[in-house]
Amino acid sequence: MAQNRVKDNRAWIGVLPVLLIVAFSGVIPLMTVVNYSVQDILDFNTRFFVGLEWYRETLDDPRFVDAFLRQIGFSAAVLIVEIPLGIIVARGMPTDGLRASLLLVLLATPLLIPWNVVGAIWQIYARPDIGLLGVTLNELGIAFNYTSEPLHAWLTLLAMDIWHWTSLVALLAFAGLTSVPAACYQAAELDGASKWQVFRFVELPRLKGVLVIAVLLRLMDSFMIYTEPFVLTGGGPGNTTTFLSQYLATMAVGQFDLGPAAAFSIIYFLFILLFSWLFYTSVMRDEDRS
Amino acid sequence: MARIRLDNVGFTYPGADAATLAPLSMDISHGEAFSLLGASGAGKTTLLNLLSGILQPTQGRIFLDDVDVTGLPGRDRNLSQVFQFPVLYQSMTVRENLAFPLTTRGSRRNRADIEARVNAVADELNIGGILKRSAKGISLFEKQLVAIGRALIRPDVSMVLLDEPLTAVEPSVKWRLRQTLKQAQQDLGVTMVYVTHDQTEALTFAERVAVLANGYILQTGTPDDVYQNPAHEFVGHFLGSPGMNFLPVADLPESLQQRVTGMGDPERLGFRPENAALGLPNTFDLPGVVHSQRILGTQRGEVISMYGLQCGAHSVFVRSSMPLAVGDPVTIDLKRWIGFRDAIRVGRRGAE
Repeated sequence: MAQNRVKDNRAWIGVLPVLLIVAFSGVIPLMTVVNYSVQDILDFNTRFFVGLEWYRETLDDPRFVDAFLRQIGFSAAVLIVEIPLGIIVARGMPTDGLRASLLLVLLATPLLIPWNVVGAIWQIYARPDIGLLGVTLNELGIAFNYTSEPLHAWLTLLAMDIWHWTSLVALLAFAGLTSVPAACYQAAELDGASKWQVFRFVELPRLKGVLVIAVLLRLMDSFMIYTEPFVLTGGGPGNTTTFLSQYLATMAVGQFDLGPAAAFSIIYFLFILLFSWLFYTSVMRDEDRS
Repeated sequence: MARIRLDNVGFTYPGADAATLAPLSMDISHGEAFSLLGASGAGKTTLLNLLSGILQPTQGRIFLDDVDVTGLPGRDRNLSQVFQFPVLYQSMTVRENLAFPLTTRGSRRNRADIEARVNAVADELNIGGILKRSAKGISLFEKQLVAIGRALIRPDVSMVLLDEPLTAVEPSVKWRLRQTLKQAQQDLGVTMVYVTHDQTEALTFAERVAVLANGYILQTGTPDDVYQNPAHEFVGHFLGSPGMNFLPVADLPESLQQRVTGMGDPERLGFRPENAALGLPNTFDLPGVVHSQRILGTQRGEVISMYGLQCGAHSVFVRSSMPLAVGDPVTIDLKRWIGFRDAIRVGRRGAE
């Protein structure tokens, strides 16, 4: 066979489209950003190489650090609420029948709404003068105003994200729960396991796979959140709800500081990568051991 | 360990026309190895689920040691179950799996007792060497052994339900698992209810077998009794390979019909392939022609065959060492037979 084979490299042409797509969609844009991040660009023809200057500057920028900490706080809060809540919702779901189908459709609805519409819905919903939520809270005697109170702005943002994304976790967890064989529940029942033990030892080990995916998706998504806070609070009051992506947009689009914005993007990208990797490897390490 | 008593227990699914399980009464004694044998859809699983508390009977009462447990959930019946596929807590080690039923509410024990019991059960099942392993990392055979171990771990368990526990295990280790199970049953004196569609498993495991079909228990008895002395045509047909032969009395020769009279007036005669003898034409009363031969093996230098014979319009199987070829005419002597009327045993001849 080997002797009869004609030396021919034409097959490489077949790979070319993929290379082009990957290059144009991933490699070239990323490298452009890397290129920008090490230069000071004054105008189209005037640019200097500045090395890691922008990186140093970004990491020293108190506004970046603040936005970064806010971002971590936001993602952590979102994960802490959405993952358990999603599991609770999924466990409460009927497993089959018309009710299950209807609930699944209902659950999926928030996921189908465009993100800026989600922002707009909550922007109106929470308004203290005309919004259902805002007016109701004020009628109840709570001086709720998310445009002036940072805490209220945060709570509104969190409520919006939980409303928007818990469904995703619930749907994933529901899919995971349907794969638990009935015999496992039966065995736990006969062993006298408590409700908590059933969850901890029967359901959770089988949910692990989907929960890892859910956490990764929610971690990455919440870390990159832009549209909804932009529409809802615009980063305010002050800078109290300005997250990384919004600060980045201000730098890159608003001020046209391409170099610092590029360095910012790379750092931002590496952090998401780092967090996801840390989480994934720490969870999956037990898996390999057994 | 306990005595299990079913008093007129029946189950009908809501809205169903026929009962999934017709009302039945049953008594399984303390420490007995009991087997429920039947084809799929016979009602075995329903009966098992009634015992384990997944289903509640639509009529009748269930007693464990004279305590009425009807209506109680499974956890309050102090029983355990081994399933078709090994059910383990996969995030735990083997040791933790075994110990789990001793750590739950209602059966909590101190650490030394648990340790001693886990070691004792592990020794009994020969799994002492894998106690530290993760439940995920062991073979299917070992997993099922651990599942059996977990079912046996509570010293005071009222009964152990086994739902076709050998299904998932490779054929080559089936007999080993069956042997272990039987040994553990004898050593620990546990009441076991073994549900299976496999007659070999049922007949070798149990002290008593109940044969189920279409929601009815057709016969309960020792393996020898249900095999040799079936109370119903189905039992005779279902047990044995091939099963019992049946011949309508009306189609038998005059001389044979006379021998049958006074035996409860049966419509059909049933006899097992090994309970008949073959002879040359005109030796015995019942003539037949050989239509097939399957060699079973040799016994004391003689070749034993399973002959398929045509007796008029009927086909029967007879085991014999007589050298015959397809097409040979023979006569058949029935050494031991059972008479059935409306499929129910009305008399027998030749036994004892």
